[in-house]
Amino acid sequence: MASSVNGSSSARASPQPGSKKNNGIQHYASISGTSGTPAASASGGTTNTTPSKPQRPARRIEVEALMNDFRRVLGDKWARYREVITNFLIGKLTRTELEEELGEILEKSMVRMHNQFLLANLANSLRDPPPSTNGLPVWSTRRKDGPLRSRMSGDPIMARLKSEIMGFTPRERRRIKAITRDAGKKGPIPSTIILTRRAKMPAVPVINDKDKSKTNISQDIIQSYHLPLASESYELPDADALRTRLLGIAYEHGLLDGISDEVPDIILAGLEYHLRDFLQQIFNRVRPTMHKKVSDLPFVSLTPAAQDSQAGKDAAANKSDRKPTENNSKERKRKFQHLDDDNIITAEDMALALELVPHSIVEPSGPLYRLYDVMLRDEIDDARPDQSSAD
Amino acid sequence: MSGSDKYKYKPEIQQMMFVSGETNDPPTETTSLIEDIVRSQVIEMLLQATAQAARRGSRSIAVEDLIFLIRHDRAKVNRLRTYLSWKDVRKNAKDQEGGAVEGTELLEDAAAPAVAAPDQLGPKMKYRKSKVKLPWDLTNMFPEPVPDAEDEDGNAGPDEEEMEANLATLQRLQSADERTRAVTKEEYVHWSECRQASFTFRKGKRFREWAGIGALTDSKPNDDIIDILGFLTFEIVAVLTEEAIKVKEAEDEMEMRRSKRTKTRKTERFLFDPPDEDQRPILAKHVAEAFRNLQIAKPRQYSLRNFSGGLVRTRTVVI
Repeated sequence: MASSVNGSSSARASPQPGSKKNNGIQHYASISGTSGTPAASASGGTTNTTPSKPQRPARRIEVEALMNDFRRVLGDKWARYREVITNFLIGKLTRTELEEELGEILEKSMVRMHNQFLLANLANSLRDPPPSTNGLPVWSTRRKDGPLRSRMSGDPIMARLKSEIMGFTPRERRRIKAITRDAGKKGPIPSTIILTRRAKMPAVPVINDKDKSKTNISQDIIQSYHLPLASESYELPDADALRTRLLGIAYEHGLLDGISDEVPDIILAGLEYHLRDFLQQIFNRVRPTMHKKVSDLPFVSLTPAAQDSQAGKDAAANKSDRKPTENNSKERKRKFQHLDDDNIITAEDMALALELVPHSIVEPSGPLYRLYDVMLRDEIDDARPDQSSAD
Repeated sequence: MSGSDKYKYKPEIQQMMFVSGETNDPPTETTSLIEDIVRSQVIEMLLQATAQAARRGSRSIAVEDLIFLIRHDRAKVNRLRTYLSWKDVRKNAKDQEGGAVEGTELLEDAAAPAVAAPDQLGPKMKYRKSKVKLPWDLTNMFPEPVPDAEDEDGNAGPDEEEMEANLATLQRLQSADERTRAVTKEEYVHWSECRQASFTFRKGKRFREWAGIGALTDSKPNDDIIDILGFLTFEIVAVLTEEAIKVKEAEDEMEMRRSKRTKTRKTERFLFDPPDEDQRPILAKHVAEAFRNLQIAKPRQYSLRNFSGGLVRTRTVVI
C-alpha cells in the first residue's frame, strides 16, 4: 500500500512538497489500510485523471469533516499545527524543520489523521475548484482561547500598514477613506461651448407617466420658437402670440398642464406697468422741466444731434407721451416724423437718463449694453454737420 | 349674471366718484376695476395692520395699527381722527338726550360756511371730544405727558404741518363747494346723499364677507376697525378718481395737441351744440394709470442699494 502510494505519487508530476510529504509519512510508518484507502482511491482517481479526462467525475473530498475531527483531537496544539503547516506550504519552513515541528506537535495516533488531511487537500487541489472560493472558514478561524497566536503576529503586513497610517494626520486618513470606487471619475467636464449649446437647445420634457402623454408638446415648443421677437416686430406682443410663447416656455420647464386663459393678460398688464414705470423715470430725467403734466413748453432735447438724426427706435416711438400704446407703434412713429424735431428724444437721451438713474432697471442686460456700445452716435459725427449722419 | 354677482358695490362707488369730481356715469368696467383695487387695498391694510399688531405683541388689530399705516399722510390722519370723534359725538349725544338735540345742534353748525375747517367745532356743544392718541406722535415720545396747549374749545394754534395738512382737506372742500354752488335743492339733496355713501355704513357684515376678513386675521376686528376701513375705502376711491381725472385730462390735452398739429380743422363751436363732456367718462385705463402713479416706489426704497439698481423689494402702497 505504501509503495503503491509512493509509486503513484512519484508517477505523478507532483510538486516537491508532495513527494517529501509522502516520504515523511512513510517515515512515521503505520499506515493502515484505512489511511491508504482514501489515498488509494484518491490516487486511483487521479491516475485516471492525469493522462485524460476521467470517466467518472472527480469529486472533491470533504476536507472539512476531516479537519474538524483532527482539530478536536489536537486540541490546544491546533493553532500551532496550523501555523506550521501554513508556513511549510508557503515555503517558509523546510522539510526538516517541518518534521521537527511536527514531531513535537503530533503524537503517534495523530499521524494517520494528519496524513489523511494533507493527502485529501492535495487530491482536492488537482480537481476542479469548489463552487465557493471562500476557503475553509474553520481553517482560518482562531480559537477563542488561542494563546499561541497574538493579535498581530499573523499579520505583520497589516501591523506595518497600521503603524504607517497612524503616522498620517487625521486629515490624510480621512482623505484616504474618502477614496471610493468612483473617486477620480468626474465625468465629462462641461465646457462653456457645450453648456451654451445645451442652454440654447429647447428642452423637451420626457413624460414617464403614460396616462398624461400629450402628443403635441414638442410641436408647441417648436412653434413658440418660431414667433417673432418683440424687438424684431417693434411691438409689444398681443395676447395670442404671448400665449403661444408662454406655452412653449411652460412646457420646456416641466409644467405639462399648460397655462390657463388669464395668464397672458396678467403678463401683459405687468409688462405694460413695468414699461411705463421705466419710461416715466426716463422722461423725468430728460425733460428740461420737472412738471409731470404735459405742459405747453416745447420739449427741447438735450442733445443737439436730435435735430437731424433719425430717432432712436425705442425712444422715439414714445416721444413725450407717457402712455405708449401697444399696437401700431410703427404707425405712430411715421406720424411723428412730421412733428417738430424738438419733441423727439433719442437714444442718447435714454443713455444719459439711465446713467442718472441706474436703479430704474433691475439689472443691466443685453439691450442695455447694446445701447451703450452700438446705438450711440459718435461725437465726431456731430462736429461735421455737412456730412449726413448715419445711425 | 355672474359678473353682477361678483361686483357688489357699484352704486356706492358711482356715488363716491360723483362726489369726487366725476360728472358722467362711469362704465361698469371702471367701477369693477375700482372695486378690485379697493378690495386688494383693504386686504393689504389688514395684513399690514395685523403684522403691526403682532409686533406689539397683541393679536387683535387696534385703531392705532390702522392709523399707523397712513401716518405719512397727515391730512388723511386728521380727517380720520375728526371722523372718529364725530362718531363719539353721535354716541354721546344719543346717550345724553334723544336724537333731536343732535339734529338741531348740527344745523346750527351748518350755518357756518361750508368751507369751514372741520376742526373748528362749534362752542355750543359740550361733549367729550376724544382724540385718538397717536403713539408715534412727537408729543407722546416723552415720559411725562406734554400739555396739549389746547383749551376747551377747539385747537389753539395749529403748527405749520397741520396747516399744510389741512390745506389738502380745504382744497377738497373748496372744490366740493364750487361744484355745488349753483345747484337746486333737489340736486343738493342728491349730492349730500351721495356724499354719505360708504362701504361699511350699516353694512358691516356684507363688508366683512366681501373683504374675506375671516381668512386674513384670526381675531375678529371690532366695529371701530370696520368703520375706519369704511372711511379709508372712501378715501381710496376719492383719490383714485381725482388721479384718474388728472390722467384723463392729460390725455385729452395730448389728443388736442395732436389734432392741432395735424392741422385738422375742428368744426367751430356753435351755441346749441350738445356738450361734449358727456362722452368721456373715466375709463378703466385711466384708473389703471392712476393706480400705477400712486404705486411708484419712493426714492427711500432705492437708497438702500445706493441707487445703483438691483431688485428692490416693493410693498403694495396703501393709498
